[in-house]
Amino acid sequence: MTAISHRISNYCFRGVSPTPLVAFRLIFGALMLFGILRFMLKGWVNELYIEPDFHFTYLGFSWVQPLVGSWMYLPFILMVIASLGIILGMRYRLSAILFFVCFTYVELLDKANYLNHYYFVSLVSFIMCWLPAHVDFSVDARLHPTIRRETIPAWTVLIIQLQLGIVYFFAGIAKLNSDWLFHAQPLKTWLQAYRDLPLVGNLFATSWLAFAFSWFGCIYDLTIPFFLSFRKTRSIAYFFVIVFHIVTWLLFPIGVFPWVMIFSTLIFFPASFHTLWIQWLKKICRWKEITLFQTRKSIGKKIVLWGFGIYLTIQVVVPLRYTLYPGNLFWTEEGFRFSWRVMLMHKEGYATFYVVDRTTNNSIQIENATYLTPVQIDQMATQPDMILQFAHHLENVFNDTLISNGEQSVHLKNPAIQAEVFVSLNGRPHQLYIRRTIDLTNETYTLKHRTWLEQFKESNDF
Amino acid sequence: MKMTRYLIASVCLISFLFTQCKDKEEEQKDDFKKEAILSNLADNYIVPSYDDLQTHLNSLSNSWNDFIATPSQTNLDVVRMEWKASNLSFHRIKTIEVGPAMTVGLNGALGTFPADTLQIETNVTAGTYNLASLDNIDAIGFESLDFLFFGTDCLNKLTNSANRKAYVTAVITKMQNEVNQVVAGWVSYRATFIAGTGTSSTSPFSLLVNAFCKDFELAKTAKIGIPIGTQSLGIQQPLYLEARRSGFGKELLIANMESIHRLFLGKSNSGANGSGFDDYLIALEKSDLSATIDNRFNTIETQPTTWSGTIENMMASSPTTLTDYYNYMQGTVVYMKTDMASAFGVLITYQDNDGD
Repeated sequence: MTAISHRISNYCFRGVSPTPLVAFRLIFGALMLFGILRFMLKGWVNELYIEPDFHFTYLGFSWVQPLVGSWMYLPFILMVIASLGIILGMRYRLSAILFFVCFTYVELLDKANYLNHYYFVSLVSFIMCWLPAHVDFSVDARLHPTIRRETIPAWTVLIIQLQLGIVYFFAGIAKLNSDWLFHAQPLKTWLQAYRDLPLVGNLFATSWLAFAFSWFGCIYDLTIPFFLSFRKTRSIAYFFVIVFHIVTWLLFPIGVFPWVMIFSTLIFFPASFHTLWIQWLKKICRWKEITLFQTRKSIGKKIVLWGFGIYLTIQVVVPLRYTLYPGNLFWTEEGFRFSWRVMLMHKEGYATFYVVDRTTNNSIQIENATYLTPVQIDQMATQPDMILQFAHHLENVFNDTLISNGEQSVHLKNPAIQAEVFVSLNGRPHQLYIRRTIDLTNETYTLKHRTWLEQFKESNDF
Repeated sequence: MKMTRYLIASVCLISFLFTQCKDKEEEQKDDFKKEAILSNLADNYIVPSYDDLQTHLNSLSNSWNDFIATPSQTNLDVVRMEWKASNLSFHRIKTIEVGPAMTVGLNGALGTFPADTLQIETNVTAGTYNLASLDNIDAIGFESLDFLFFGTDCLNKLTNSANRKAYVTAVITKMQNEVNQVVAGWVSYRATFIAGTGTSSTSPFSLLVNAFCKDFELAKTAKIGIPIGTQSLGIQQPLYLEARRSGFGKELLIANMESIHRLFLGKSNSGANGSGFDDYLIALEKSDLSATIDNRFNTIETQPTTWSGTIENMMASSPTTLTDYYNYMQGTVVYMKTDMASAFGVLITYQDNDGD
């Protein structure tokens, strides 16, 4: 036992060249700078965080609220500054922490905007806070040559590789389900929409292409971390990384994510590879090398190993937490998020809410668009936790209000909130999701299994 | 390396096997193009319908000029007839709020109801107004004319007030201008529309599917729901009825539903059945869904013909009939929005999205 832990420790703390990590710092900083600027230029700060009256917060994070009005641009401006700091290696730690805090703050505001790749960015920027990515070719190292290192402990590179490996591998595991493998859904639905393309249109309309894509995608996700890890297969694996992500970028509206993955996976390449382009950059920037005679001993090996272990355990356990819930995961979405289930299902829902006067049983049918944006409506209609949150919001809006209609007026007190929801999963005919007889004001938002959701009835009619 | 080669080989083999299994019928299904729907609708439905609306509005304008020249009950009756004909014509095309109609904001300008009669009277008294301003959105379009042509003592008021006559002329001219813009816009937009088979949320095909669902939902909510009290604890709101003074709301509802049905089937105004959403659904092996929606539209467009009197009459005499009708429409939205739109793979979001 001690022998193994000794070997792990040795492996994690052996000195490696800092160049791959420095390269990753530049790549990650540049991608984030691009991503944040793109987000702002598309007007999404206003659309997603300033305009909506209501936000779907995460369980336990309802205290995370948007800043008032245009102040909401502040975290984005800070992120621009922080990504510049990361690229330049200027006040690197502070920049990395600032970026992580701002990014995560924004992501926590509204789960209607949840994307796996945002979660990925949050995690990587968290990791970056702990890494010595500024020990070479950085403003910090220029100003304070004592922080320069010729080697850094191997775990600092390994953790990023493992994080990427986890993303791919769990994305692959998630695809091991019959809809994906034996019905080629949802890809069949998404690909056939390209049936009008010249020349290749007919190909996209066929189901066999969807099957080929599904199987290839699944095998790719499951194996690519390993092929990227071995020297012999690395180049060809990286070729597949490029092809895979460019194809997804062409076919689906997934923004910068393909580029994040294409460039991030370069971390699997050895120092000799990164030295090529970092040297070139150094030349341009007239970077002066200083020969260092000693490497300071890394302290707190135990703390690092424990931190490392805990982080990885969480990363493995969180995507598997769904196994604690009964029922069909795609239907209930209990344990669905934060699990690398990317491009995995096509769910469409129609949710109608009713505010009911308990004394007369008369109701007000809600126009969702009065309270929510189109994106929020779309996301909410298929996700039970969001349906419940919206119901509770309606309860607050309508409780203790006077509903006047000409001469008649009704004082609404503690109204019941009902919802009639239908959902279609992966192209199956719609099924009842939530029954109108359920009063959602009686249900609380917890991590417990939701019994008020209708059971999924398997149907092969798709 | 070996592994990869093996992989490629097996993918090719699987692909080959799948191609071999394909029969003739399946091939035809794969050959179905969305462009067929778009070009059929553009040439046989949309452009002719806008032309028809343009013609009707011109007739309305002419009849109104005749009335100004010789105000009389007979001439007012002709104006009213032309108003009905143009409003029906508008209801045959309003679903397609895509391209030029969206730019112009045609539905808002022509079809907003109920009318703000106070605002109309204020404008008439003032004699000066900017009908394009947002304040006047409830004082223009067919609904304002419903009030001006069918309101209490309207013949007398129209005959004796030059301001009132000028207001009507301004309203009709505005409508004509807007429809003319849309008609002109479609000359160049047609090509964009037909080529718009992409999958983004702003591609004409996506816009069309969304407009189709949206207009149906709007009819459900505004023409029936709000008046019968679905948003007001069951308390009826007759003031919110469309074309209340002429009592023409039922006919407009029927025209609206018939046109949505025709759009689904890809039927021209003359009745020739071309490519429509139904054919696309059949190509996607969802003929059951196609039949369900078709049947539901049949029921929805024929049921109101059995109602006695206007919708307002029905609200008094048989409110449950309207509630049942409303619920049936509500049930139909699910087939359109959830099943059909998801089968087409149409997106509603324009933001980054990883499919979950």
